[in-house]
This record gives sequence, C-alpha cells and structure tokens, in this order.
Amino acid sequence: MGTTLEAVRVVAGRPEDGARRLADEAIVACLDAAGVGATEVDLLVNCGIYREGNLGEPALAALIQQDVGANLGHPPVGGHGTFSFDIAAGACGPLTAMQIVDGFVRSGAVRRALVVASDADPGRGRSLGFPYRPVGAAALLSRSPEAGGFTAFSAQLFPEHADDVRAEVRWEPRRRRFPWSAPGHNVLVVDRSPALVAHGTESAVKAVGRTLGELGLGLGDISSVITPEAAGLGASVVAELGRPGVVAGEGAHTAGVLAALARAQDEGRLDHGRALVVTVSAGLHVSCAVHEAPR
Amino acid sequence: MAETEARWLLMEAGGSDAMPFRARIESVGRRLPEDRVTTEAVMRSTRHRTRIDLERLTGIRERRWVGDGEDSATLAIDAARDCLRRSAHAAEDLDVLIVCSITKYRDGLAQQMEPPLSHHVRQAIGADRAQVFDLSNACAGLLTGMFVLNDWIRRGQVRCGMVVSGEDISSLARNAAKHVRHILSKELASLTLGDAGAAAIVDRAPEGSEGITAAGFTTLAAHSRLCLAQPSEREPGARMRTDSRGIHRAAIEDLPPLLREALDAAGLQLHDIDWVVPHQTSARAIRKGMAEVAQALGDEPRHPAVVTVDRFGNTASTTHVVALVEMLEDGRLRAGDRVALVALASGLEVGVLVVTVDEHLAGRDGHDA
Repeated sequence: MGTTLEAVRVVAGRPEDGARRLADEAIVACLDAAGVGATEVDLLVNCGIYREGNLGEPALAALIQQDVGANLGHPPVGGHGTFSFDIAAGACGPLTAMQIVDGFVRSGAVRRALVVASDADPGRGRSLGFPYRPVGAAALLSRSPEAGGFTAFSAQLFPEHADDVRAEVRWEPRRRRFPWSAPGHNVLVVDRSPALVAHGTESAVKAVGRTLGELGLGLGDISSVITPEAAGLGASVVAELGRPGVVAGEGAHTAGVLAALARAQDEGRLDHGRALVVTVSAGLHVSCAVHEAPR
Repeated sequence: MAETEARWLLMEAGGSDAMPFRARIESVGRRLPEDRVTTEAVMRSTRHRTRIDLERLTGIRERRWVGDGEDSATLAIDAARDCLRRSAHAAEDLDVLIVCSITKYRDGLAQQMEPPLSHHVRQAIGADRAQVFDLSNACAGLLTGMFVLNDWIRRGQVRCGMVVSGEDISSLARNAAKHVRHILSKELASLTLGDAGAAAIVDRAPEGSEGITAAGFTTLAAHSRLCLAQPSEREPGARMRTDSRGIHRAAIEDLPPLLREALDAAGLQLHDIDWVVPHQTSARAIRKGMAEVAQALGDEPRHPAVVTVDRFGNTASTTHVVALVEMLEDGRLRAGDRVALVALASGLEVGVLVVTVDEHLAGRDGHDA
C-alpha cells in the first residue's frame, strides 16, 4: 500500500488575486481532474504562507474548506467529516504536508487528502516589494493498494545559511496623510540574499547525498529530479546532481514544488522509475521525497 | 484498518499492524510571564466607557501579560526548556519539533513568517537532530501537533517529539481596549486573552504503559468565519473579531455527538473520564457548556471540568498544557487518571485527545511557573 498522487493542478493568478481564491480554484481544478467530490476529502492541509491581509487566525485551510464545500454540515452520528489545518515550512511546506498525509494514509485514518499551497501579495499597503508571483496549486493524495507512490521523506536544516531568506510582518511608521490617518502600518517584508542560489544548491546536494545514503541508494538509482525553479535554484540543483530534471513553477513560492510535480506527471516521469523531489526553503531547509512508480 | 469509516472525526484509536506502538505524553512544561493584570485593570484601560462587568461575565480575575524582552519566541523557548527539565529526554533526543503558536512574535511585535519560528526554537534549545515545522490551527494548534506526533509515533516513524507554543497575544487585548464600546463588540473576547508558553514531549510509551488511547479532530467549516484575527491597520500588533455567541451556539450543538464519537472509539463512557480539560475561554461558558454536554450524553465525568481561565485568561493554543502542568503540580493528576483534552477553536476546530496518565508523567516533581 502506498500514498499516490491522484491529481495535481496549478492556477496562475493576476497581481490582484488573493491566495485563498487561488487555493480554491486549484482545488476545484484538482478535484475535477480526479473526478472526486469535495465531500470525499478526509484531510486538507494548507501550506501557503502569504495570504489576504496576513490573516493569522483561523487556519486558512478552514476558510478554504468552507469555500470548496468539503463536509460543512453538522456532525450526524455515522457521518463523515473533513479536518483541515495549516502548516508553515516555507517552500518545503508541500513535502512536509505530504509527509503528514502519508502518515494518516498509512495508518488507515485517511483515504483521500488535499495538500494546497498558494501565495499572493497580502494587499495594498500590507507589503513592501512582494517578490512572488500569485500562484495556487493543489494535490490530491490517496491510499493505493499497489506498492509505490511516495515511499520516503526527509528534511534537513543548514542553519549556517539561516539569514538567506527572512520574512516578517512588522510595524513601520509612516507620515500621516490626514490627521485621522494611522501613524504607520503593519507590513510584510521579504528579504532574499543573492547568495541563496549558491547556498541552496550546496545544501541541496548535501541533503540529497545523506537522504540517498540512508536509503542505500545512489544518484544512479534516480530517474528524475523534480524541483521548483525558485529564481534559478532549481536549474542549479539539477545541474549539480547531474540527473534528468523536471523544473517548473518559476516565480511561485510554496506552489512551486507542486507545479514541478504537475509537469512531471504530465510528462509521465512518475509512471516509471524512481523520482526524487527536492525543495529548498528559508532556514535553509531542504526537503526530499522519493516517489516510486506504482507496481 | 480503515478508522474513519462512518465517523465525523478523523480518528486514530486502538492498535493495528500499521500502528504497533502507543504514544504517551512524557513531559509537560510552561512559562507564565510575571506581570499579573487584573480584569479590573483591563476594563479601566478601555478608551470608551463600556459599563461591562467582564469579570462577572467570564469569571476571569486576572491574566499574565509579557514584559520587556518577552515575546512568542522567548515564551516558547522557556516552556520547551521547562519541559525538558522535567523529561527523561534531552533536546538531542527529539526527532521532531513542531511550533504551534498563533502568534510568532520575535523582537517585539514583528510576526516571523520565514524561516518558521520552529527553526529558532530548535537552535535555542539544541534540538540539533529534530525535523521542524510550524503548524497553525488557532487555539487547537498544540493539540493538533500532538495528533500528528501521535500518528508518527504509533507507526514507528519517530520515537520522540515536542510540540511547543509561545502565545504573546496580549497585543490583541491592548488594541481591543481602544475599540470596545459595548457588550456586543466583536472585540470583547480579545479582552480575555493572556500570554503563556507551553510545551509537551510525546514519545513512544514503554511496553504495557498507558498513553494516548484515542485522538480525533474535525473542522466544522460552516463556522470558519466566526473568529478572524490579523495584523491591525492602525497600530502595532493584531486585532481579532469574534462572534462569541455564534461559537457557543455551534459548540453546544455539535460538541456532544463528537465527544461521543471519540469516547466510543476509546471504548469509554463519559463517567470513565476523570478530568475534562476544555479550551479555556470563560469559566462561565465552560461550566455551562459541560452541563449541556452532560445533559446531552446523559452522563458526566468524575470531576467538574478543569478551569484555569480565572487566573490566566484565555492563553490561546497553550491552555490545555498550562492546565496539565498545574494539575500535576498540585497533585490532582495521578497515575491511571483518564483525561479528555477537548479543543474548540476558530475554524471551527473540534478535537478530543483521550489520555491516560502513566507513572512517569505523574511522578514528575513540581514546576516553577
């Protein structure tokens, strides 16, 4: 039995689009592609970071669950519900969410789960130079009686590069336009170091080496490396690893790795061999997942 | 084992080939700021003359608020260290570290978005092996983190992990004090908030030991917009708008059948539960809610519902562990006691963890708050 990727869809937005709407659209497209109703989803994990108004509570996943109509009613005895929550692990969020889903799938608690990731400018006056494209993506994962699917997950930190990506919402004073105007605003600021590609590539190569070593594998056992583009980082990682690559999701943040998985699925890269999914995010944090073709 | 068949809760209970192990709460810790703020002082600070007797409405006499140099990160780190002091594990034993706070303030009121706050806590406590991520599920966050850890430990994926929250949430109360005008104000609930840090280590229970016997969660998303919080447009920190009556109505209606589901999964009746530890919003709401649950189920737990909100206020995701620490310190909680940790949070998130206290947890010595 394995956790398989039933469908994955990506929605590119316009600059004015919000993250929640992009997540909603990606889920609708994903469920349509799989021919599955929203009520069949047991678990919804959202791993997007930047959303409308920098909302902190509730979990955005709950709002998304309501938007897509996944089991909203009162709990009748013998009924069926959906559980939803958010995680935050930067661009590695989708792989962390898949690891959580994989656990509940393997225990038998979940039959179908959605992993959704979307980021967009939190709104006018709420960010300074927001650097990511508005993109949403959703992946439907399910229990499969066949062997294969996602078989291993790993995560490693490289804190020596912790300052390469920093993002916070902080109070910035500003001149009052009118006497009744606020004296400042809470604003999102994202800082990315020019060294990110070099440090990210170096960290990814180390993390891949350790992950494959623990699994008793070598790079020669990997048929494809799947990774988000992430401002040149993806291409650099693929070049350094020297294996056939699938790189997609340019400009996207957390949705990037799902965009790469969508392209890999379209190209049939998940149907044969052993694929390695790699993401790098703030921390620096490198996540890997091994996907085996269903047998 | 298809455990969600015909259930509303996403539930894990019992053992199976896929889940050969049992998880337990091995240790708990907390950090309460020194500054005590009475409800009278909070109401004196409101900009408008409200004529609201908040203490009578909620039963909250005082809460703790952070002082200089304290924030979400320091509260989380102090709670994690307190938890480790009471644990048989060292920081380097942790396979996973999950930060579950709503607030992620560092260096004042700067909400850290990336890297996740868990990276900072990992480094501060020296959990060098731990996989880390943040999890956000409003006031159900810490119990949701335990739910994830419970799954990973039961399947043998990891042996030991920590969930931790640092809630520097009093900025919402300070901001609400500028805006609350009357008893129907959507920001009235913000005046009940208090700051705290809390942490728990969950590990693989030794053979034959007690631990987490059932864990189930669901999101009643029809109510997802009853409580919304985000950074303020006018001042540092955040603001929260809550339809408290709507949440209470939904809880009264939906909690009894969900609690029944969780107890059924554990093979228990409500009278088998020694202590119900609900999320702490208001002493009055807790007592009224438990009376409604008892009436709906025709049964009641062995002791009245645990209340700490009178002294600490609503400390968001930390309330359950703050209460557990207190119960262990004052000797109320003993080996063999069955505890139902009941989450009720914005979303609307409902969760139940049924935990039997083992000798190890009950044998911990006292805490310094």
